[in-house]
Amino acid sequence: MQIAPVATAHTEAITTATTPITTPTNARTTTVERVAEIDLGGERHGSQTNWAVRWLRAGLPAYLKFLPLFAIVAAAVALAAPVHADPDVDFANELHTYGIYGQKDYNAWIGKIACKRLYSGVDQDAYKSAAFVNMQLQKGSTTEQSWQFLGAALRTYCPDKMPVLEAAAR
Amino acid sequence: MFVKSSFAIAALSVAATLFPAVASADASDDYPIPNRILKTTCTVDQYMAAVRDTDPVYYERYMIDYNNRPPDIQQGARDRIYWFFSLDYAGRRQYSEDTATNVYYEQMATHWGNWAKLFFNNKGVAARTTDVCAGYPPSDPSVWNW
Repeated sequence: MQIAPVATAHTEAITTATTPITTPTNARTTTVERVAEIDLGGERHGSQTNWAVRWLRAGLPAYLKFLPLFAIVAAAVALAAPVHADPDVDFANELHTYGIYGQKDYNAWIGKIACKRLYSGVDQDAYKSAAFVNMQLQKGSTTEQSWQFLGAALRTYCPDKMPVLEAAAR
Repeated sequence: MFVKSSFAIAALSVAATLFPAVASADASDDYPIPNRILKTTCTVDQYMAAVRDTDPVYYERYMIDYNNRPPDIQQGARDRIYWFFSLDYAGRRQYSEDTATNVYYEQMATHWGNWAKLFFNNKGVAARTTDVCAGYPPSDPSVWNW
């Protein structure tokens, strides 16, 4: 259903793109020439810029000229996601290994707030933190799960507070 | 047995029609401000410390909103809620009715719509929190620094 309008858009693009190239007085062609002059004048033959300029001058339709650009953008979008993993997801996955489920965002909040409470001094030690966490977990959660939650939270969101946990272990 | 219990039910329903005022409370007893807030003897600081511990996400979100307000609005919200908590039950209930019947009654709300969200908007939070708020120090300015 979408094919028809897209096809017309392409044909329009081709016609508008081909017309200026055949008429040298057109502003669009002048712009390309000017870019070419600037780049070629800088003694940078064979550089990426000149390759790009030659590509742009190749008399291709407009939508083909920018294909490499689209390819780069598409690749960036496709590759970016796995590189920057969400710490909340890792945190939730770790909680699952302890049998702690529930909303990912809620658990992330509790983890971050547990850190904040340690920074602000509302909780002075890991025992207070664990008690706080225990209150926020589902009813029936064990003390062990509270400590596991706290350990995961400190590791994920405030590793510099890990000594608090180690102090409690002694 | 069946007859006896039907009599008892009939008697109860008669009583219910005769003395409706005894058990009934009108909507303003719990709306828009939860009944627990109208009745609590806790201070603002006690209440806020209790929310911080029992409903931390609710508290966090309110404080984010609070911290995004200009200082004069923050000051206004603090003054207003301390003023509200200084009222007795009758005064608080009257205020509740005034805000319910006149949308322009609470001027603070024209500057910050959710200025009292932590206190007035959630019966569950009010119930859980007023259960434990008496155990906190009556004056603790740190509850506003989050």
